[in-house]
Amino acid sequence: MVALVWGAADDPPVAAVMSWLERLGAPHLRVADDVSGLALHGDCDEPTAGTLIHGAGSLPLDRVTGLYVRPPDDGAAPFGALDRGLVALAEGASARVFNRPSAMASNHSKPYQLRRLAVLGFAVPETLITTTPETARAFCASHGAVIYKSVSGIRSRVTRVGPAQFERLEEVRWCPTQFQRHVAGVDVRVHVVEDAVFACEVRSQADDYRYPGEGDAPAHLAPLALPEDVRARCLATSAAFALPLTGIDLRRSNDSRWYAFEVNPSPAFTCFDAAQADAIAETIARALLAPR
Amino acid sequence: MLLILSAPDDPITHLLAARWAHHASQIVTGDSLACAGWDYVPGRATQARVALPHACVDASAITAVLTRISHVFPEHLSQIAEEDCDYVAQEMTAFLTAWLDELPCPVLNRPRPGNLSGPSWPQARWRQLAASLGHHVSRARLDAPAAHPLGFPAHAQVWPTAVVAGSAVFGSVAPPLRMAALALARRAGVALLGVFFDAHGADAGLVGVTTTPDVHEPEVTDAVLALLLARAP
Repeated sequence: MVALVWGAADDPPVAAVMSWLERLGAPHLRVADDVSGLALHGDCDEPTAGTLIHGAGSLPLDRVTGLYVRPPDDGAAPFGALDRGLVALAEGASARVFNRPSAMASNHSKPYQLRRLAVLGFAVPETLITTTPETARAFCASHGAVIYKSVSGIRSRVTRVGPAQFERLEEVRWCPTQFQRHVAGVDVRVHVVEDAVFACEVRSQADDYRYPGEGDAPAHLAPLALPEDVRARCLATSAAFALPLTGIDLRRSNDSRWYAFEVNPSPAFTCFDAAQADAIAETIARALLAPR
Repeated sequence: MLLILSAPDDPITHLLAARWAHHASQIVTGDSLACAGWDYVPGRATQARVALPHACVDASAITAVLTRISHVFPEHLSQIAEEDCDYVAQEMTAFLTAWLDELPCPVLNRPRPGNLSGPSWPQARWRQLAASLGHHVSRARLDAPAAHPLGFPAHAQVWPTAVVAGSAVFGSVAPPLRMAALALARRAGVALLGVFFDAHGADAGLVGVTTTPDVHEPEVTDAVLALLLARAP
């Protein structure tokens, strides 16, 4: 019974899960590029038949009960043999995996996610992806308050289309650009860990609470009890996306509708309410050790 | 109208477009997406507008799509500043993933996030799936691009290959290998699949797969065209 954590020691979610594994006195091992002396021996076709060589010895992979996958996203180094082996393990192991790489790929297309979120019963904002400046201008004119953000999983700041951006709409002709009607309301971040649901209300003056503007007060975070139907929808979302660990971006609009924007496959849950983040880390750690 | 989504320098694409000229085939590359005329509202794929080299058309005019790339690659964007190519390529890929996913006409193969032409599985998962179906898996491996952990293989392979197009299987491998390739494609839910083996004989092992196989042989081209046309509305 060993928990594997694939991630950087200084990454807060990884550190939080590692801390709980230590508090539980559970055998665990962190793997990453910054850990020296690591090697994966074995056949990728049978990932659990392999052995992980590490500084303190070796670990037969059939002893791994759970794997937390949060590799560093620094975009620097190409994937090496160890990473390819870990991808194969995460993809094919019968152990509990948070999350399998192929399921995490849904985050590469926000409109792909958005359509599925609508099917799951969430409200979704009117959205346009366009390379046509005239169409972009017409969308902005018809909806009044409009934001733009990346189409892909590349991290981008959600930005309101103001006069300065409106003047630059001619530039959309070079790249499909995503516009959405701004939905006024209160952000709610929901984390799902298997059948556990944690909701956190985020009150912020900024269009993107991750990036408060100059003079904006920091976002106010508070745990929130979700309505039962929304909670059930979040669990259904986690299942539909095959992401047992996920961070779902919701907004309760001023007219009390629940909008969904995105499903995060590798959520930075430590950015939200501290006590809740600790509970999420504990839930992940315990799940990594539990037999399936 | 048939769309062929492709790299600009793919000789097979140009061959297909010439053979399918009477089906109004059109090649779409990354550069095609870097121009005004594309409009897409998620949930309304057939109402999208598509910018082709000589005209903008409604997506409802598209009868089928053949996808010959896993991603839009930065190096295929000749009109974009070099420092922006990575970002633009990912945005284009994300847009195409969503639009092609919901387009109701035949799309070979339907995209999945991470791969415009089918499942975004690492080669190891394909081999695991083959093994679970009872097929012999080779110890040989495809050379995966080092920069991509999912290891989509290059097209030019020296391995004996079976190409699945719907229920037809082509290639000079033994019949049991053809059946194995067909079973694998069906289990994976793809209509088009190239399956590589380490030999031609019945006891050969499966090496790996590609979701963008070489379809230049006339009989394969015809089978792919039949798939695209037969399922068109």
